[in-house]
Amino acid sequence: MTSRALCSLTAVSLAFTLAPAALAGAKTYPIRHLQPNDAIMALQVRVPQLHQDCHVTPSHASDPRSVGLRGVLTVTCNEDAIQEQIAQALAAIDVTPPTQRFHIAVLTASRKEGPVPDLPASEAKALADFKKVMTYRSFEIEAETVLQCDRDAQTQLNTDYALELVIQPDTVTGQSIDVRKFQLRAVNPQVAPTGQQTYPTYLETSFSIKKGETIVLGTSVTDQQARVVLVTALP
Amino acid sequence: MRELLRKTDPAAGRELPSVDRFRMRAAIVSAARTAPVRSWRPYALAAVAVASLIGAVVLLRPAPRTAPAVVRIPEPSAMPAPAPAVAVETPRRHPQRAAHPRLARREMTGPPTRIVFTGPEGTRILWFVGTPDAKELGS
Repeated sequence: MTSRALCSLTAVSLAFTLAPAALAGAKTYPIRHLQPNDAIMALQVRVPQLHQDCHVTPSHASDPRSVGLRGVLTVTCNEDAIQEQIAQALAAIDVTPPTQRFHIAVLTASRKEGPVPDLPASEAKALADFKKVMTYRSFEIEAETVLQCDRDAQTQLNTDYALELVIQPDTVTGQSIDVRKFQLRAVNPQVAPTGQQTYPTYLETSFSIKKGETIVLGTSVTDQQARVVLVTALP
Repeated sequence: MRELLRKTDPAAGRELPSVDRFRMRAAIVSAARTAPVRSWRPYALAAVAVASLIGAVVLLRPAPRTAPAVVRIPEPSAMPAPAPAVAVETPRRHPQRAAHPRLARREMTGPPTRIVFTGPEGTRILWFVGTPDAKELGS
């Protein structure tokens, strides 16, 4: 009995001695912009000891936008020096992705003579070019907005239009931006000829646009009117 | 069979107690009862019935089907009622619709045609023609 008591006391004392050391090696890092698994891969490149001397557990946030985090990494290492390398590497790789800004204006075009709205220089030039091709003579701004996004964005223009913009972040090379989806649809339901209420999509397309360029999108509404959208990728 | 067994009674010429004689005859009679009765009469009756049934079918089946066909084929114009039903060809159209349901839906609800052209100053214009009204193009 005496030897067993001594053994148990030794084990308990060893546990208390080693536990603070083990707890000191565990550290939690917030991941704000990268996916936690992608952050681990990027860390393994920058911190080679991570694979051998550390144990990394990723946790994914269920609602990243509300929390402000995509997740956390719980890292347990044998040496504190590795933790410092991890912190420095994460500060370098987990950064805000580059964002793109767009100015979007929805105009009503008419074949009748009338005023032309005041627009920025690039958009006024694009509209003048549009007038040379099409027979619309007057324009009126219905709604406009400025969007800034790194991947996708949704917004509402006035009370009539809902806009969804999705860009391909990998293809933002140089001055060209790949817009995978540009969708302009109605916010309010409209009655179709069949009597059913629908939310019509006015425009849905994809295109590439250079920074500083203005693209004109449009479709005829009636014989005399059209809906014209000016999309400008702000530099 | 029973008569034959009684006639050829093995205990007929022997001196046996009445009880044994009764048992022996009872055993012979019961053996005669349990023996399988094999007779050609049921088979013959079944064969006759099957043959008569087949004969009736063979004789009666061609008569009602060949007669109207002979009447209808030489007189197609004399049947005004069936002619429109064939001309409508609803059974033929139905499989065609079922074979291309997605194509039909795409034609009805597909995206509008996008026309890309460039203005004199280099402005790109993406024009969507959702309806046949494309009068503004080329004007």
